[in-house]
Amino acid sequence: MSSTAVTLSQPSQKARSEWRLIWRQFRKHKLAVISAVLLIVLALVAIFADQIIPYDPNAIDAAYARGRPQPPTAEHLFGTDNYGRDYFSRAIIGLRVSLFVAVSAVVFQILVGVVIGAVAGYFGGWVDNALMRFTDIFLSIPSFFLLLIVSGIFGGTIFTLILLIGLLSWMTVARLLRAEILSLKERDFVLAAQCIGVSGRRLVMQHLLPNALAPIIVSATLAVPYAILTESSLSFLGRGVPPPHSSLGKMMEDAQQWLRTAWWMWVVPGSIISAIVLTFNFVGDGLRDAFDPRLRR
Amino acid sequence: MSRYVIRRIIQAIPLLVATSILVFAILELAPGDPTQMYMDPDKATDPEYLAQVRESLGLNEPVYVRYGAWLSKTLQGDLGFSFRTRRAVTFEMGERLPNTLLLGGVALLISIIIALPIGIISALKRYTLLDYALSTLALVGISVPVFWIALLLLQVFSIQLGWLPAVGMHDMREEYTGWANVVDVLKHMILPATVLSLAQTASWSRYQRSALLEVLDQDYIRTARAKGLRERRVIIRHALRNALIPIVTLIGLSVPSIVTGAFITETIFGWPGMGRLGVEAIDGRDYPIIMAVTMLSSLVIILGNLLADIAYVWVDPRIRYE
Amino acid sequence: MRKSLAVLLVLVLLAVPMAGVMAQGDDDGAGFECPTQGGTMITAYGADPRTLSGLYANDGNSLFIVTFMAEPLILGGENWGDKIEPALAESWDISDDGLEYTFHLRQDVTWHDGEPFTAEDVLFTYEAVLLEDNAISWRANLMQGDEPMQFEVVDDHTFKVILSEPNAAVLTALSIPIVPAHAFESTSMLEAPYNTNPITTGPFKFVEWNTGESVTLEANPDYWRGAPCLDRIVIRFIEGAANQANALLAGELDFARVDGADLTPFENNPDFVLQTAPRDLMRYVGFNNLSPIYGDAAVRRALAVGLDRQAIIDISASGYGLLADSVFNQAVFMYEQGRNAQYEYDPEAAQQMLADAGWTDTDGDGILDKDGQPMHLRLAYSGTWSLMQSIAPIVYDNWRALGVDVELAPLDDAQVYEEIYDNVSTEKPYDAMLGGWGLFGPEPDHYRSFYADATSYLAYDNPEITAMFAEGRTVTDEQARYDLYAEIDSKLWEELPMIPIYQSVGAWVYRSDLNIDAAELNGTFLTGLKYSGRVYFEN
Repeated sequence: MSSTAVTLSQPSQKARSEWRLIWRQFRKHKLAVISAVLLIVLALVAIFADQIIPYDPNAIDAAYARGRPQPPTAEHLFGTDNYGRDYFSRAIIGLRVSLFVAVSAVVFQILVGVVIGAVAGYFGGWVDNALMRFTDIFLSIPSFFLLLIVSGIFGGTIFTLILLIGLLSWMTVARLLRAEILSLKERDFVLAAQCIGVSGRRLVMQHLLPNALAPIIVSATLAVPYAILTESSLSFLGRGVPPPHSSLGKMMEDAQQWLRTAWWMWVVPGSIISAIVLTFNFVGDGLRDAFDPRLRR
Repeated sequence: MSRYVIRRIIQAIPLLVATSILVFAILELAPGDPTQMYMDPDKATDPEYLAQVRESLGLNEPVYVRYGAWLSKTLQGDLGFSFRTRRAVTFEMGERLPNTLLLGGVALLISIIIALPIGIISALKRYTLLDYALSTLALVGISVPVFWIALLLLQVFSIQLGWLPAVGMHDMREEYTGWANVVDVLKHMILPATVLSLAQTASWSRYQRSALLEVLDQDYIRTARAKGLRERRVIIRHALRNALIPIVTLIGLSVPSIVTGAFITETIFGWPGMGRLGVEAIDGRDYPIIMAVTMLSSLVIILGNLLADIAYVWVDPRIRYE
Repeated sequence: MRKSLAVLLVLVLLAVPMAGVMAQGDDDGAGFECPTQGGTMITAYGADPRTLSGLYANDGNSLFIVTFMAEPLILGGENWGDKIEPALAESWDISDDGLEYTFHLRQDVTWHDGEPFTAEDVLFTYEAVLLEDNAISWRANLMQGDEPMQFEVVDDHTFKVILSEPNAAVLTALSIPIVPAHAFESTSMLEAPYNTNPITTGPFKFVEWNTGESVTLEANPDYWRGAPCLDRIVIRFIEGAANQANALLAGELDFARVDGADLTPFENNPDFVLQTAPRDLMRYVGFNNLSPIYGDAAVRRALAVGLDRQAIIDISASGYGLLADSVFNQAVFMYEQGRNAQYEYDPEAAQQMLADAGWTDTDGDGILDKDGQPMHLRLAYSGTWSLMQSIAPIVYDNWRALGVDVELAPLDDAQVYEEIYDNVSTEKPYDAMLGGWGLFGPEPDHYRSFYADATSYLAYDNPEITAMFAEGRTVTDEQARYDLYAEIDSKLWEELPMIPIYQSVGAWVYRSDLNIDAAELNGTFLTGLKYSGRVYFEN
């Protein structure tokens, strides 16, 4: 047929087969696939939390608990805490809060990181220099201590937690993207696009960003566990999600006093945190391998 | 090389200044006034007295004047007085910082000692059961919250088994001196240092594995093998040296996570270090201490980055900095 | 210039002691034979002290250490026990007009550096306290309105206090730890080296302070009550109740107060002894009585009925608390159990009471309303105080169930001061606050600052109550005083400017081979021990 049609459809076909290749590679990583399935389940649980929970997670049943955590029963699958609050419901809502905080923080950090990295990489020169010094500042900040300060004296809300974790961890994405764009800029297809007069914005949006997508996806996947652990560490030190909300870190803090006497108090949130972090790490691993052309044989 | 180091150190100065401005601004914007925490409540209604206390804490001036004063004093090595104890911040930090550095240093050492062999074994026995087991273990190590592990170890080794002390740095029943004292401190350090080292140990062993695998695929290794060199020699002389490069940089870059870990670990194990002091200072709105902890942590992180780069040159002769 | 630094224990209000009933104690404590001698007792408190000077110690971390070392003339003041008893003063005479107090000081007391203790030290101490630049919080104790008390050294061991008007509570007011005049260069003491290297007269003397770790004290063999049985006491700084409990279980502490849930491993544990004693600490929900909603006593009573206070004791204090049935602590002299009818928890009755007060859910949104205004309640509390953090969700759930739109506002300490205690401004953004008070001893007049002071954070302004409190200071007849305060109690229990929840019961845990019986466990001392010199190890 006409040669124009062929050239027009080629990129999309190429992209499709590219994704197919990635998928084929990803599938080889069994743990990553299992983790991905598990993550989807966890995400669904978080989304439909309100429909799943059998009890109001903040409802106190003092008569039932009499000040002591109660072990799991048929009514209370994960037992109750010392307030008599259903631990299963708290865990589901806690999962939702923790996942929401972590994923939002990562989305936020990627937005910031992509903008800074793309601008620095595309414009280069003094813009690049200034933005990279700016990045250096954030890299030299003891970010966890800063989080403690801010959430300690401003009082943590879910919103400030997201903002803070995001603001203090966009640097990796920015640096990755900048490096990727710098190297892409020298590649033939970009030079060609520039020659035929493609505008700068379009170049970034249509060519540079999609090509830099792989490292961003991998780093985002691996940033979620970091955000989850940060949130839970803050909550553990009493500075995370404010009461009466439940979060996985908050549940860990509550469990501290019951280590010896009520195993379900710490086993439940601890295993959920570990499971989320582990699955994200596996998926991130799988994606990294899948995106790495050297590993495709 | 030395010119490079000097340039890097000079570059670090604006970073530290920027960090200090940021934290100073945050404390300035914070709601609530630390003055009232340090006042006699019976007289809190007296505005004159309030002003007096504010002045005694150095909070009466406008923010830029205070920042200027803080900066110039800090450059002269005077970090001011702690709001809470009224003692010099340099004294408080002098008591705490060495303990934190000791704990962090030992944790790094533990990480190296454990992570490198694990990574190497994993790489050499690639795709065996052992490799999978070690890799999974490493991932679990990264995934489990530090404080969770800390509480578990405390429960098992201090309380159930009674093998290791649960809190602090020294035994309070005996006055140890000399070697006995060193042994005593080491015993107190085992749990917190292990906990602090966990995350690094896990991630380094994974990096070490993939770094070595990558090197083993290189042409020069094949050449070395083709020359008929013994496998041992190939690995030690050729592969390992090159595979160590990424790890050496990682060690420097792990400093921020050690600093983060210190805040949690020191609080759980009652370690008399800077991290615990920092956490206490936030509750007490002890601004001079908060500033000092921030600046020192920042400095340690920057030095870590610098050491990473220097070590990189030292290990890899192909790289030269001007 | 560094001055005027008075630090204070959060939420512990300083009392201005006034007239009260007191008895001169008869136990001077001398003549106790130690069954065994020696050993080190290791105990713990949260963090480094702010000071080691008895004059500045008004935060728990400092007071805890100071209580082992220093002594006042008379016991019975804030943090110095619940009874007026002789300490450095052997006895005292009161002039017939009640204006002159003559104290006869013990002659056998020496400071830890060997210098003799004299009336000059007492004078020096009180003068230093009165010096405004020193910013010592005890100063209010020695003021009568705008006038300071007058002091006079009669001879080396006789000291006179002269008042301008009778004040039966002067003894609790004077219960301030004494410092040695010879250890200071002047009465100016904010920066004095003494603050980190104190010399005292008590059973234990200061040895060293390892920042971030511990303070070590050593027995004072010349102690006037007799040499202590222990050789040393080490106070470790361990942040967090759970961590202290861990250290106890691991055998690294011998004696500590343990809270709530952390007590479970020590109950029925043969290795430890658990003993309880009431403390003068009340936990309460205070209202902003200026609020158009919560200024209504009917609403406050309904909320009291709708609050499961026993559940708070069970959950937040693991059962170690006394359900309040008075707006005073049980230590006040006219307290009588059962005088006031208890507000039994009954959510349905509470809802009915709210409906009677005009609050019903007319728009079906689950929140009560009246005249189109929803019943919103901002509950402010210290988010760094774990006890308050554990009580807040219960209040939240209980009152939410009634249809109150509760908003939890955990604040950090500086914000607590700004939002709650800053009584310079009448603007009070909170509707209710969770708090705890420490009012000490038998004297009900201390409670004026809550119930008879419109500028307090409760903003409770009831002319009738204010007048009764004023009358209480002048009445001298004991029975009349008793009746008057009993009436105040009953009226305030009806009015409920705050809902008292429970009075704290302290639980002390110690190794089973430690014996503290002769040392007398007493919750009104911060250390829990009245005579720390009589703690000993059974072999």
